[in-house]
Amino acid sequence: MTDDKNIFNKELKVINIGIDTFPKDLKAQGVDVISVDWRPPAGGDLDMLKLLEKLEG
Amino acid sequence: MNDPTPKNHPRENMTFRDNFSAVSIGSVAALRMTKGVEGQVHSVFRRVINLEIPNEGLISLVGSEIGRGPLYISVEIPPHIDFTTISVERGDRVIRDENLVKVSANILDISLENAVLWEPMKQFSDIVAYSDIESNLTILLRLATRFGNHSDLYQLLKCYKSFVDDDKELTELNPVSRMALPQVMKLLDAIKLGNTENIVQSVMKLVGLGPGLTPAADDFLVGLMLSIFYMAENSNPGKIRVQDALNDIQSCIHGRTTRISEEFLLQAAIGNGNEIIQTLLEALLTSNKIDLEQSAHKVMSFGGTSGIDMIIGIIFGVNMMLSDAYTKSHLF
Amino acid sequence: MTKRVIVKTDTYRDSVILMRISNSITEVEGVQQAAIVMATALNKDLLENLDLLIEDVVEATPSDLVIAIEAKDEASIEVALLEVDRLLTTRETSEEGEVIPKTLSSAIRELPNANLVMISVPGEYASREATKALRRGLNVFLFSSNVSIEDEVKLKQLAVENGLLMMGPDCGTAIINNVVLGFGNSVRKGTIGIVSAAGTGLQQVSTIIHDEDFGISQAIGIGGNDLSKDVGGLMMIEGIKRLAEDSATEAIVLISKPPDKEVSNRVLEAAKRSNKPVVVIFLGGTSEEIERHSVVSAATLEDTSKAVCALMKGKQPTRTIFTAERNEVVALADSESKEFTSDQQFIRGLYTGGTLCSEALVILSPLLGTIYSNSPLKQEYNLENSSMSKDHTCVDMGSEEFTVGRPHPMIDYTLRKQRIIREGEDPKTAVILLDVVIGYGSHDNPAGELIPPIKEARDAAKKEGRRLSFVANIVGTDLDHQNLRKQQKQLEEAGVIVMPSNAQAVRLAALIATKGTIADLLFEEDT
Repeated sequence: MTDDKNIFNKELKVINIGIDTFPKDLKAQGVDVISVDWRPPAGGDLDMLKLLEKLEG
Repeated sequence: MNDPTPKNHPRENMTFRDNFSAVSIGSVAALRMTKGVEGQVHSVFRRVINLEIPNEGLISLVGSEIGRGPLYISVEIPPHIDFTTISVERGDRVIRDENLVKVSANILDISLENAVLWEPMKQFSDIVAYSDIESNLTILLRLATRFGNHSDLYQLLKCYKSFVDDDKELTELNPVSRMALPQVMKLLDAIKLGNTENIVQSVMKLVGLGPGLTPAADDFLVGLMLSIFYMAENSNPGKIRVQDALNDIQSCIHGRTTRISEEFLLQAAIGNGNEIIQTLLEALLTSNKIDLEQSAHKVMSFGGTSGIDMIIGIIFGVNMMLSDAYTKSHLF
Repeated sequence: MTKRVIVKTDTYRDSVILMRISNSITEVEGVQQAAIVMATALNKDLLENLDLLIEDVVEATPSDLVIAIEAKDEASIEVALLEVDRLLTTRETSEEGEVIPKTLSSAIRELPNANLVMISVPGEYASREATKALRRGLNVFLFSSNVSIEDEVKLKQLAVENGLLMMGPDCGTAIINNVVLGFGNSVRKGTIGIVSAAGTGLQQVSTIIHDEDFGISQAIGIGGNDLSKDVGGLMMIEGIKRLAEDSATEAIVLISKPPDKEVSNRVLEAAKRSNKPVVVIFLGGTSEEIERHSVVSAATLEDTSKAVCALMKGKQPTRTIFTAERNEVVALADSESKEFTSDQQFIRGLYTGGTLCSEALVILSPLLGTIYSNSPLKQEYNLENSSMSKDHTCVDMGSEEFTVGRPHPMIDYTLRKQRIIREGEDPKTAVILLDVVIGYGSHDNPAGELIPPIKEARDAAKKEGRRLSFVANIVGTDLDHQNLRKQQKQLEEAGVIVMPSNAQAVRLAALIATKGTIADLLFEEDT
């Protein structure tokens, strides 16, 4: 395991996908965090999800 | 309400004049707004002011973050400035005095001193093979499917028959898609066959349809027109008579939609699109190092759902041109 | 159904605002459909198809904005129109220069040295997002549950192959580099590492270690299914490996419910190979297997915490029954139970932490026999209706049937408050047992939430000649923002007995409920 991938003892830089209370708590701990404005793919439309699945392989 | 006389009165509580510099001026805007020309404010938005130049057409003063385009004068404006709060109103007089665009007499001056002329680039270098264009198109389709769901025309993408069950009846379409779909299919067939009458009939049933200041179907047509124009200029398989089709479409735009949308449509019919669309098309068609996903996201975040509708139009347009190149369509 | 169609002449709003208006109207309760369009010829056709075309619209031109609403009554229309007016005149700005990424890729562009992705999207989308993150070389904290075992295996294999941590699915707690991820308590940084398949288990152990004046190097959450047969302890073994190699970690704690036998073997082998002192709690399991691997075993979360601290001090681990003296505890239990009616005999444990609830069941069963639960030790002790206690009952209120469509009970005390009052009404309830979890992710003032229903339940019971006993444990530290001392003081002033650990709270509750009759058994208990 390469040392540069080891997250221990490195400054955490976080990407948050989902609930927004998590980044709030991280910021309160002084952690750099960026949130992704995540939406369910295809708006939950089943036909489109099927299409999306095929396109993503 | 429809008073043609431009207003030109001093504002009582105004303390200073807003003075900004344009960084670029689109080729069509430059032609329309020559020295000495006078016009009126057509509409005012947070970061955009549209100007109507008599006998010429619309041009737009836009914050530079919006980007460059044939009708745009892109202006360096601080992020907090909101044009709707500075007393510029519809009907106010506009005049170009030497290199200064004066809006609403004493309220807003835009200097064209350092504005660089921007012309759409219609021919690209390093065009890739059709199979690569098709791969790129599939990526674009994936992005539109993943992120495009808040547009009323999103459901047009369900037409990808090879991916969806063939015999599934498309009854669950929303009202806008339901009205648009048969016309879109008719239009594409008519373009392929060079059938002017059908082109005109279907376009007349599309221009002005849908929500948005630029109605959804209009944005779709902008994307469609620009994509077939660019394909024809750069990668034409040869059989589809793109120029004829664009002329036919152009003939049925006037009077059927909002003024602003009309301008975008007319420009698209002659291959003039905004820079973000041009960049997306370049990413689709060339091996120039442009990130397709990034350029697609830029378009998708444009104007509510306008960008997504344009992309759906591009998808249909490029696909149609590719199916012209192959004997069988892979995507439809 | 009622309709209203309004034409605003010469009205230009950009498409973003029009979309906002449209979205906000359709969200108004009672609104059936709405159309916000410019009055072009085709949009008039559209409105006609929607049965929303009126005279004014027929006359309108493409520079006019049409707002058409159909709703169940006038009131809904009025609410919708207020929204429309507000949005038409608002100067609200949208994104002002701040880039809000919509995808992982664009987020990585904004934060190029990102090393961890926290994912809490709905389960059906979760493994997709986690896979993308791992492929981009990022560690993952996956809070989402309802991810298939097959997906979990794939994710963890991918992580291990790439030297990354895959914390979850169904992982609510971790502490990495002294940063709390998800739920969790502020603890000092130190030299004890934890790998845990149990969220509140991690919380209880880390906080007690902090109370013992030690600290946590890393606490790796691995999700509840890691030690199942299919997943095979992938992340626990990887976690042990990482802590073994971590120079800042001097001792390791492993927390889980009893794993599959083969998995248990491999995990304990890995623990032994670490060459560091290891304490293992397989909650509810036996100690032989663990001790066979020359690894220390503990039966409660408290014992686990104190055992590892003892090892750090070069001392032998001991078991805690109570920190207070026996006679003190017995006297306390007496004063609590002496006013019980003859009917009052049962414990009602209302838990927000699943592991804490399990620990309660493990401790109570040998003492009291059958304990019902919605996550019981044996299927025959399953509560038919999780909302209705039976005899001795400990309920995990963080379980799915309580959390569908609502926030977790650690944040939202509504259901627990109602349950306290209901339990109080049952003439057979003697003791109500509570866990009070503070720290990140939890309510800002649990005591403030609990005290009113406790008072109400007490008063109601008093009117019927009953005295209710309340016992609690606060899972937290002096560093947590809810102010542990203050929370404790408030609870005690309301007559709640606050014990230093869940295990002690549970034992005290048993002593009280049995009016002291199990004292001998309790103080000589084997586990």
